[in-house]
Amino acid sequence: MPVRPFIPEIDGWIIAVGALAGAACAIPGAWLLVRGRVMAGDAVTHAVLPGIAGAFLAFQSRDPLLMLAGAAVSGVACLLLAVVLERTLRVDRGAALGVAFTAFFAIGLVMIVQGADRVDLDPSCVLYGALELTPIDVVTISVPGLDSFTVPRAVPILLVALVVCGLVSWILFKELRLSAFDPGFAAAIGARPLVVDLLLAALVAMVSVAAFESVGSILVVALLAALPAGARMLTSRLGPMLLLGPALAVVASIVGHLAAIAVPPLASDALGDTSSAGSIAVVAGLLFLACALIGPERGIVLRVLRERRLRERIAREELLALLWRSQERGLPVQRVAVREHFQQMAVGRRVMMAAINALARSGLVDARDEQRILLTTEGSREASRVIRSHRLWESYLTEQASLRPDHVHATASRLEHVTGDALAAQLASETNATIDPHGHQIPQDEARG
Amino acid sequence: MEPPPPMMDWTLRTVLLTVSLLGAAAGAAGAFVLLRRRALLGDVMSHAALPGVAIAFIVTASLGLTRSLPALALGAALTALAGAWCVSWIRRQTRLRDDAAMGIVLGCFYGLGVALLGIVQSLPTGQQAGLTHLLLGHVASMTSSDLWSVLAGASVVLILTLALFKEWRLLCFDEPFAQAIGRPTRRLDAMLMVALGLVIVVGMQAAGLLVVVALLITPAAAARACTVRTGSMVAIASAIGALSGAGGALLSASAPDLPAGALCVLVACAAFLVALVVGPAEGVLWRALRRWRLEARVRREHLLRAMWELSSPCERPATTPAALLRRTPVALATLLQRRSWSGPRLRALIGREARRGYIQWTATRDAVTLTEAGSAQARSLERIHRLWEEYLTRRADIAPTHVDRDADIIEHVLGPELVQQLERDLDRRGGGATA
Repeated sequence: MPVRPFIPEIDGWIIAVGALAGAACAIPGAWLLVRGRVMAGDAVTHAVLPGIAGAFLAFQSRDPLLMLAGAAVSGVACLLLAVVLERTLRVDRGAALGVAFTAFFAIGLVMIVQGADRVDLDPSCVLYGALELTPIDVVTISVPGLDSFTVPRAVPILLVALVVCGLVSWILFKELRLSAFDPGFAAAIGARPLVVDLLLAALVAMVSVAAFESVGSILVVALLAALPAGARMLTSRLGPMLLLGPALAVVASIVGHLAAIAVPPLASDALGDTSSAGSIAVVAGLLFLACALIGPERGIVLRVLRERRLRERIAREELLALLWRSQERGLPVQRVAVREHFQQMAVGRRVMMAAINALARSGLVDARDEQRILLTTEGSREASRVIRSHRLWESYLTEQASLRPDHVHATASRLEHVTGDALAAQLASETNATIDPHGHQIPQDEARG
Repeated sequence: MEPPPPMMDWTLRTVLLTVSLLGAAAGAAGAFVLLRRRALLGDVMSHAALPGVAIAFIVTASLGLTRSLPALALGAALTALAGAWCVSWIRRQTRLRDDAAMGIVLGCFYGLGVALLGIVQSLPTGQQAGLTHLLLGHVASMTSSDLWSVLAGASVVLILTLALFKEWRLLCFDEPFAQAIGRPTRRLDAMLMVALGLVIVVGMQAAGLLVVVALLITPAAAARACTVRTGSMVAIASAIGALSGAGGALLSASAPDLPAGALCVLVACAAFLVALVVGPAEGVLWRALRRWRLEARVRREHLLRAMWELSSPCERPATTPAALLRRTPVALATLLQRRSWSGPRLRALIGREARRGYIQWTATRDAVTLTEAGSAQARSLERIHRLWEEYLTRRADIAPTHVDRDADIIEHVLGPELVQQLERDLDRRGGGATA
């Protein structure tokens, strides 16, 4: 099947609805993230079932507003139950949520089966949602003095949810932040944790209920969890995080919907397009992964690079120290000995060669000889700094920390690589030693002569 | 009413046995997961099984095979375990908390499942009949093949639980220690995930996702309220799981229009509520009782000490220890002003102590006297209070004007050993309590 063409009146609205739902979810999701309650989103999306069934059975109508109201009531009730179980009855947080939402869902199922002869309500409609069908279900909004607009019904609903979440977060920003990061202090100045939990529960229930019609209730969980977590990977400040979440939602919606149209037909001729909601959730997860990889502070790529650079620097310093010690004993260093030393430290051959080459390039060692490696004058000065901090640490640890002289070498070997000049000077003034515990001379600080 | 046909009986017995076995295995595995504070991991893994089902369906369909349950189960197990692995990977790599990692994995894996099912639907052979059963369960129409798979899965899980009990317990309570003494913690954790995955996969086919999630969480939470010992907790969780399964199946057979899966969940929930009220370890009733007893003791100690402080020895100077214990009467009005107790409450308190023989009313009934037994008791209480005041002033550097109230709070909660130690401690530093 060829990729079907992009139809702005349909696909545009689908993307808009997806982006709005994601943005509306990302804001309360960020609060859930900082309070450690992300799974509340999952609980709410299951817990709405008895509310929907109850509204349907009680009023015998499919009026969406009634159903939304019923869903919101049972969603809040479930979270309230979980909070009470956790706070006053000391049930484990996850278990409290799990017990509450499975019970609510089961009650909902019983209600639906009991009323099955009177009503026709398919619970899977509630669970899946139909993002693709939102452009068909329209309402006309007339603004006095302007034209009237025909928009999908989901748009005004989600817009209201988004605005409410934004306003609450903006007005109560300080209070919410305080109770998330310092609950003890917040409680002391009168922000009761239970009240804040309830407020958040209401926001989450409102957003999920507004979004589950269009995005499908379980996919709400993906948006609630992945978007704020992605934003968290990019910034550690709460304000920017609250704004980045909705921005990621827009990206996820555009990419997700286009992927749903294009990927399956491109993968195989037999396939048509797939669920946009599912695809948006997958893209939200991939966005989180990307943010986790490239994030500026906690990013995995940066961390790996930093670790690698550190490993390389340590290898260079180890090599300099090895050469210096041999020189001290008046022995030339064979390449074989270097290889053995690095093997003992479990450092790979590649890292070793990189260290030798880097030092040779900057003129600290002379590696032109096939058999041996020699320190240059420049290199000898660099090496004496490493040796100096190693021996100073050995002295310090035996004198001040009362460790036995045969126990300090390993610790000093680790500390020598993270000791700057200032710290070395401090160590030297604390110990006053010129000979280390093993009887070797401690090299003097050459900058000071 | 005519007796049920034998066939019905057979079906009911199959269902009963299957769901009870499932409940027992889920309870045991769930107890450990709860102790690791990851109760919702079962929920995450069972949602993460969905893409596996869809992938297995696509693969078997593209190979030209018909829908085969073992293939679907294998796919489900693989992505469920992948989900669990992703949760721990996210936690290790990003320093996000468990709940965030679980939410991301649950939502995104499930989204992947929905997207893949969308593709399945557009396949020419794509009848996804039976796939929705996985979500909502079809306990009543269980077949004997379900029984056999649950039997196999549950026995593996129970055997694993028995074999790895000590290691898992250590993992739950002190993971760093387990690591330090050389236990393969990563592998043990993986084994627990495998047990969880087994319960989920066999359970989902037989009873549906909801029932499995509930049986993993609720019986374990109920058992937690009943005991503080890991062994009994696992056993109780297992028993509650089995009973909820059986109870749900029997209830749904007793009346039409009651979905068996949902009833299992609700029976487990009822057991949880009962355990929460009467459970000996964390139950509300026992906690309230313990609290009430403590409060009663505190009130009684306050009364005796107030009497001691407001009275003086009958003969002055009191030369013998016995003379010190004969005290003057204290007027009720004076006693009433001493603490914030109401008249009737104070009278009730005095009545109780009078029955114990610690206090006597005077003839005019407007004052009370400590008996000798009461005096001895009050004197030792006074001593503990003074000891604490001394200790707080000298050792905790709290101003002497502030220690009375602190000592007032703390004096009731000490055992005799601690009081002795306090005495020794203060004696060694010169001086002692004067009472």
